[in-house]
Amino acid sequence: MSSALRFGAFFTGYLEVLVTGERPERFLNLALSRGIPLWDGVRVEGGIRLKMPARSFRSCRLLARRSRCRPYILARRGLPFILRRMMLRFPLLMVALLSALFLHLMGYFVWFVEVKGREKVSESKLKEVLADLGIRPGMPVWQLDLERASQEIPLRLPEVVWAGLYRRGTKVVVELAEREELPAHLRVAREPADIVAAKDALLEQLLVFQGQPLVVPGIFVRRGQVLVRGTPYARAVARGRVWYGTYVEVPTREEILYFTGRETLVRRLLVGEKAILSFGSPPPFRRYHLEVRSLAPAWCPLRWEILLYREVVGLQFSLKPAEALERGTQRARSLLLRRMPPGARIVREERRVVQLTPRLVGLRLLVEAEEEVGLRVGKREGEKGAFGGQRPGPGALRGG
Amino acid sequence: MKSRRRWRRRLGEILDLPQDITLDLPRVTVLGDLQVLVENHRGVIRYAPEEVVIAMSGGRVAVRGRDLGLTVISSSGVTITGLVDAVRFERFP
Repeated sequence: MSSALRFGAFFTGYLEVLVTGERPERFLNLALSRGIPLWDGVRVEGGIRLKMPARSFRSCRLLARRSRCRPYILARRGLPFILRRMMLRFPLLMVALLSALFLHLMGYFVWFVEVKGREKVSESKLKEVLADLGIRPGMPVWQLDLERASQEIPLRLPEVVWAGLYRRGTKVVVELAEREELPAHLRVAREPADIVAAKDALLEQLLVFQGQPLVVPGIFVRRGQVLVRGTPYARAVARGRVWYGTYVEVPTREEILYFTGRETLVRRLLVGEKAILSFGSPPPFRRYHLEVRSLAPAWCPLRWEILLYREVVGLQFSLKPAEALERGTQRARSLLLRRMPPGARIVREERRVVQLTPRLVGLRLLVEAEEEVGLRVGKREGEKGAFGGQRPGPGALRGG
Repeated sequence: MKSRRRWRRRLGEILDLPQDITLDLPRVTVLGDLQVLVENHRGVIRYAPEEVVIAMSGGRVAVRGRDLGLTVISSSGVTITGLVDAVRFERFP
């Protein structure tokens, strides 16, 4: 009941009224007798505050006189009053309405063009093509033909193989798929070339994909020797055994120095090389590391120097011959691995102790590795092969 | 007066009519201690936050409580809300 009353009153308009007087209840009863609905009655100081339909107020004034009460309007509420207040602010309302209309109309134009997937196509060229197809900021959406543009872009731009366009609000998104180039190894394979031995090796495996093989696995090939003749291309896997060797020495006694953390500072003023003023005493340390910081360049006759003495203690380690050998082997192996190409695999190792003294162990490590020995060497115009059919010296290979 | 009332009651019983209609009684609906709805009333006699007195035929209904408010006042009924402590009927002699 009360919610229906309130709902209806909102649309017809209602008043918040304060009824003052000796007996405001009389006013309530007179209003009831006239069929005027009242609601939200609250006793306040000086009377009763309540709500009533706006249209009933005129007759209420008569009732108030009869009941010797006085009604005061505290507030006018509901849709008619809201509209009246809005009409009073007509210019503001119009501005708000026009702004909304303007924003709505602006939504029918393209304001942004976003391109996704562009890497190789030049931006200016793409912009030019898009603008020509009507994809540019400021275009009304009803003039856009995205279907046609998506078909035209790959035809006009050879780098693009596919274009997809869609509109999201005021933005047109252009998605591009560009032509992919052949991977480097396939590109190289399309150039006339021979495959030669990159180093002296025992050829173990020769898989020829393209070209004419000139050697067979199991033979020893020399650096620069042509393994596969290109016809005119050559593509092959040539794996062979290669030997590496190195010599390392490992001292059996080692000393590791470390800082104890004790420090002493000495500050001094130098004229030329002579200290004329010095602050701080020299360090009491037996061994120390000295750091000198100069607050003027070395050529300056007057210099302020700060000397930092940091105490150092040496710790002696002695290695057993077996440990020294193991360490030496590891060091030699890491040295050799650095010389090997990627993909090389150590097949066999041979360690030879060259000298064994109380202070030193010297060893030689020989490693047999299996690795790719084929090297692609491009053919030049007019040449028969990579090296004109002859085996070149080491220098010739570097150029290839 | 009393005999008329008795006759009305008898008639209502015979015809199986609701007694609030035949006897012109107020219908008081109490919703917990939060709301009292008084229908078939004769007006508001007194309204204070602690007590609301409603006129009815042959007497009055007094609702006592705290922070009482008249949520709806219409000819069909008066709705009183607040913290209701007591509803009392006072009959005229």
